Amino acid sequence: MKLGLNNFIHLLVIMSSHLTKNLIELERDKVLSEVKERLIQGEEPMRIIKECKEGMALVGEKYKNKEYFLAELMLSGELFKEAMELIEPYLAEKTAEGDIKGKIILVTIQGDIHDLGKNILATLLKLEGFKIYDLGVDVNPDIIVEKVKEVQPDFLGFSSLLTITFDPMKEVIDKLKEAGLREKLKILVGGGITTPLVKDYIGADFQTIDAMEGVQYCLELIKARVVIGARGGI
Amino acid sequence: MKEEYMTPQERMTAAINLEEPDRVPIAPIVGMDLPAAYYGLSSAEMHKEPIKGLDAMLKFFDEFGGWDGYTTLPLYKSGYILGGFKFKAPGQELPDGPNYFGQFDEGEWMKLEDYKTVADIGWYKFVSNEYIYRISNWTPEDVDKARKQFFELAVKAGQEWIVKRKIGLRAGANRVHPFFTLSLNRSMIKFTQDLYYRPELVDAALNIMTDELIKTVIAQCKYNGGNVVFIPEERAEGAIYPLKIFERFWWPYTKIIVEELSEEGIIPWFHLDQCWDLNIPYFKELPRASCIIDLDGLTDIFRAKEILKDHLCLMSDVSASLFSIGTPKQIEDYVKKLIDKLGVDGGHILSSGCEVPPNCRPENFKAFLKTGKTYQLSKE
Repeated sequence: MKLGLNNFIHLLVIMSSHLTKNLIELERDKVLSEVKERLIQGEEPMRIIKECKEGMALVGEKYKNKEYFLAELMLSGELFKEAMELIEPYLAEKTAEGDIKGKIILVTIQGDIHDLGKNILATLLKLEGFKIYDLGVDVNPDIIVEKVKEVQPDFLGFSSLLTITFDPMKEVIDKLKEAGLREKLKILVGGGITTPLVKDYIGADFQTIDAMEGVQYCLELIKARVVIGARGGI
Repeated sequence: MKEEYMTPQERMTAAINLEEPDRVPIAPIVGMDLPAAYYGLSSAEMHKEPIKGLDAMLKFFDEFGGWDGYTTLPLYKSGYILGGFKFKAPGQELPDGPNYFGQFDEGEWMKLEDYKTVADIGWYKFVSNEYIYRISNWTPEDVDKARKQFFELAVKAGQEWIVKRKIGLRAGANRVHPFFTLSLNRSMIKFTQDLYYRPELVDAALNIMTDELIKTVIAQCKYNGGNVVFIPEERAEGAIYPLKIFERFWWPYTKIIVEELSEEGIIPWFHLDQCWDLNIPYFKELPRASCIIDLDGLTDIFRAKEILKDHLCLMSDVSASLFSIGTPKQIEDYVKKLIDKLGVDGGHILSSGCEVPPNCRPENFKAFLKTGKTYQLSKE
């Protein structure tokens, strides 16, 4: 008997913990009260985080499988953030640098003040273990170039909702090339206004209007680098 | 080459009624940003004195040989604030420079407890009684001044577009859809939480806001003679919300808007940004030729045509990115494709997907107009 993807996800949900299930079902009050209760009872915070992360991973699967929509992805991200705010005071130490999967600078460039897509991507990537350098909105191209020099990230992600951002984004990428910083860096561009034509025009590596596709792109590249690295490629 | 034989008004009416016009009617959305950029004028100044924005729009329209339809009014900061939307303008909250144009300032300006007030007294009273002072630094005198400025602008716009230029598609009113209004004023994330966790509050507000929209649009159109209402929405679609949310919070209210305005001979022009692929089939439930569906390039307009053929008029979708970084040949090819595939039953208005951007290449805009005006007439 063949087990379809929907059924497989459903099975994983059934097998999940109470907390995980409630997070998947976006039961905000139940999730937050359970987290509070378990923390008070002295439970190991990392175990609670793990269950929340499992819930988030399954929400992501449901989104990829078109069972969930952007709304549910956003709600689960907010719920996870709220749970983490409760848990953080109980954590002995912050995540060590060595646990970071990759580094990404996210920015909305000069002239544009939209940040919704950027913020959603930041939440999802943080959850996957990326260190986020969020430069905010309406940012001067030179500041972005300087930040790339300073941080040496794996990725640079532009969020764009206005066509007037195309030339400043191109300017950043041209300057990164001149500074010899482009080669190892992968550049993403996303937002309702972007198309493959825009990707080619500015000289980015990847374009999407779907935050989850952006996450997948980063994860796959990091995974590929690890494999190449293990073979002695990097 | 065949000759044109319809006026812009006749051409538009034919397309909306799904009858065959002499050629496709053309109605790009050109606000004041493109003319400002084209003539090197200050966008900051236009937000302070929108009459200058209107003058630039008129000059641009005349210089490019005109077209068939227009949204008539420039979109400027005080106009948005009067409607209850926080807005950032160049020269005020944004720097004054060639790369800066006005933008919505989305945030959690409206609080959860405000839903009840809106449900009790309506959106407009809520805005004029208190909200307008929360989203601006205005005094009551500033509000009066802004209203006077808006009125003068609307009168001049009517004179220039309708009386002098005889444009065919005139929005007698502009109203942001109630769902989109709440989303912008609560912020998208908070509004989404409200939809899922406090649905009764949202429903109560949407009920009264829908009723208000209908009543005020009818009154405004009776006053100014317009028969179209421009209704933007970019938050309710299947790219964001599951159909259960759409079916509960958007579709029933939208149906009421269409049905009640239809009875008064008013056509809603739904400006639907983002991807509406999942939602398009619902529009078949509306009365035939009762509204315009205006898409922005993210919805598959050719599939939408298959579904809504001989039922509703589509307004097409030359994308902002194509206008700004495409070539005249790419524009020409896409416009020809739109005309060939969408105009078969007359139900097509050639337009831009959302607003023609300020960095549109002039040669691209010329190619858009030229192809729109001549392609069909030059065919055997």
